[in-house]
Amino acid sequence: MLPYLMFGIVAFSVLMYVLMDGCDLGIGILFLVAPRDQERDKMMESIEPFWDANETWLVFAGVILFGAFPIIYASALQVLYVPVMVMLFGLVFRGISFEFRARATFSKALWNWAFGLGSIVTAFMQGMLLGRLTQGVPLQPPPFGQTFTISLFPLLCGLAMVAGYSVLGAAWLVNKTDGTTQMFAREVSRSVWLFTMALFVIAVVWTPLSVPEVAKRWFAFPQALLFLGLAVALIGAALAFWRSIWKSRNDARLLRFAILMTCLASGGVAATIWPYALPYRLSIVDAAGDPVSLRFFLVGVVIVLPIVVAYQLYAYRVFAGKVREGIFTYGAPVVPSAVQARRVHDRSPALHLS
Amino acid sequence: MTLDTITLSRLQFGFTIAYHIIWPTYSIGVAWFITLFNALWLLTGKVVYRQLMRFWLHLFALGFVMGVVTGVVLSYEIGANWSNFSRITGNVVGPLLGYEALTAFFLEGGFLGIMLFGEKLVGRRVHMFASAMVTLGTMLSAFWVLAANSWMQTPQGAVMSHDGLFRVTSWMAVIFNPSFPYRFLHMVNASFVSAIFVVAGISAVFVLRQQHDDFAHTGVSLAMWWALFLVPLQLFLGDQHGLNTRRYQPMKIAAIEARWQTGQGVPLTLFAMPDQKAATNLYAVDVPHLGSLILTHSWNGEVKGLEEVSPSDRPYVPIVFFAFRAMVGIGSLLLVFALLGAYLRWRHRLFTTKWFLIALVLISPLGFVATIAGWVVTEAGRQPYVVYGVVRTANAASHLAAVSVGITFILFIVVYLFLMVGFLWFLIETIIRGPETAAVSEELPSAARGRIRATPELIKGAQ
Repeated sequence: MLPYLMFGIVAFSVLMYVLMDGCDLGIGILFLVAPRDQERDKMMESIEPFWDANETWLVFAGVILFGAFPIIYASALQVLYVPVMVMLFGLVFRGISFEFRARATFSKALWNWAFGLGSIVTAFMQGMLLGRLTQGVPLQPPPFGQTFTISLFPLLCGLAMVAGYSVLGAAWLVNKTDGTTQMFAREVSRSVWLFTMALFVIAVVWTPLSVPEVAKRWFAFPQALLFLGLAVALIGAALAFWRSIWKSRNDARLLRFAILMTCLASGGVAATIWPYALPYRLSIVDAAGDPVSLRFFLVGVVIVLPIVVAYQLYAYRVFAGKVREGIFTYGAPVVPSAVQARRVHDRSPALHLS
Repeated sequence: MTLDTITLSRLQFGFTIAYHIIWPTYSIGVAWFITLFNALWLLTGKVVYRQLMRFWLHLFALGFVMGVVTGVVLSYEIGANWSNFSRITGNVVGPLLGYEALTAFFLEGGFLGIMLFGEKLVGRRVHMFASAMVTLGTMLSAFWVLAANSWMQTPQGAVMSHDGLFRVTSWMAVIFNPSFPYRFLHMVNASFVSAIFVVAGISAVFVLRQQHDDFAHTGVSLAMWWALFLVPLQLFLGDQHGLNTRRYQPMKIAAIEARWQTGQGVPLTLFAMPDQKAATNLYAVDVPHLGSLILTHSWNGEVKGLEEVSPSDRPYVPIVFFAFRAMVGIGSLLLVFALLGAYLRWRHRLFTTKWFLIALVLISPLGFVATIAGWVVTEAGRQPYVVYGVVRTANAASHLAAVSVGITFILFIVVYLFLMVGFLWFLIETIIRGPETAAVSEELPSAARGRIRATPELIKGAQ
């Protein structure tokens, strides 16, 4: 029981990470195709108060693996050394850009690229990691030998991840911004939706063909029904998303569908991997650490995690609503990155200096 | 030294973690100052405290993000580069780091946004609360990570079972292991001291430029009061930590002192060139009996020498020896400045003594140098073990290709140096721009973080 609970928490953290940082990374992926710095400023400001908390879920997922499933933390990271390291470099560049870009004057273009490419690399590597894990990784690399070979399937997964995150990012922007930024987000969400769907279909066809274990699981009765149901639901959510891009009057709707799509896709991945912790090598029970450690960890998680979720929601509420532009202009030409106010009712006349 | 996988992994990890520790040190200390300014502002209503708080928030955000991005790297680097260590100690170290993320990182992440941008949205009191929570987060982070590190230095409360993995028997014993309280207090106070001299140094810039007098004087004055109190405390904590180390890790002390032979009434070696192969010191400058006096607090106390263990079990002495001298040297220098500050304050010359203010600016980064040196002492001094006396560092590394680690190591150096240039650039820019003026602070509290590149003339124009 303990191992399953702990693994449930790992899965929950990964899902939270994918949902939250997915929006973040998606904005980064769309950053370089945004029309002007004006839109880019807004895009970044829409995520700025949250990105650190979002990324903490990644750290948390990593350390729960370390604490509750040490063997997976140890083996998978070692075997996947190269993509993990490249992902970390991507995270470094995109993370630092939040702070540096906001302060930059003439080096802004540099941080645009650092943020955009950093986000793309991060997302791509996460997709590759997922692809490699789905293929199944050995517990140990050949001792001190070359540890990484590139095959086509993980590359496809990398692309699909980039596309998928950008759907989340676009939906986030529609929700959090207005004006030209929102317009851009709506426009781009069509193309990224198309990309995502195309890559998703290819991946769904390719996965059982290239990984026999997956085929065995997907096409066996009765769980085939589950996968079928997930696929149908996902297609439904995707179509609803497509229809809401221009038509919906509620800006949050798009984000809700994007979240639903992500949850369904993640559910599919989880159901594919189940009951393995490290696909096809170690089951959740086999990979679990010492019960004493699991219990100690679980107590803390059960007490603290709800509080964490509560104050994260509080922070989201504090910065709810659209990002506003051009309030604190001091009568000077608009310095776009001077935008800080986040709420409509914040625009009290007393502050309207321009 | 051959550049094999283990050596490269050690170099890479040493570099990335030493670089990382700068930022938590900075964050712990500066967050605490911000909360202090915030509290003083709430209590006294003096605008200068708000000005200080806002100015240091800008600089805090800059350092904090450096800590975040370099910290995320570490949380995955441990598994990637130290696979065997992770497997062997996962049951012990893993949950401790798990608690760090759970109680500290989330707390920081959750309230950071409010602390930086939310003052206007949530009101002063909640903002104060958010600042306090971020500060608490930085302290909790130190608590857990130092518990984990101290356990690796003085392991207890866990046994190694037949499959070669540690299993915990008592969590209290693991967390409150013998060296933990000393290391925790020494490190947290090191962060305070480092931040004090950063605050003093940067405030001194404004005193020297005769700008924002109230802001600058309050900064220097507060920092020097705390220095007078906390620098001596740090020396005391360091001494206590040393006594603890002598008891549990005698070979580390022997390496610190470059003491090869066990003896009574041993001298203190002020300077030498330790020769690891010949197990002796060249060009030694010794002070008789002082070594025993400091280490054992008695004239003829016995100090163990490195000869007690076989050469393969000895730490590499020169690194430990010199790093220790760097740390203590800087500590003593900072003590001199703390006392000088008090003297000048007494003579009413604290804000007029130009050479002292210039010196404050120059020594402001030294706290971090001392902190890194201290970590080098404690980490290099416990070699060749990663879990002291039980697991050797050589058996802890991943079986990676040396070339993979070599390439990532070079990339880390390049990327991190680039980040440092960026940090210093924006730090200096923020200092040159100076604090928000009172008018701006009063009217536009949520105009956070120096995004506004408006000059005072423009502000006047707007009004």
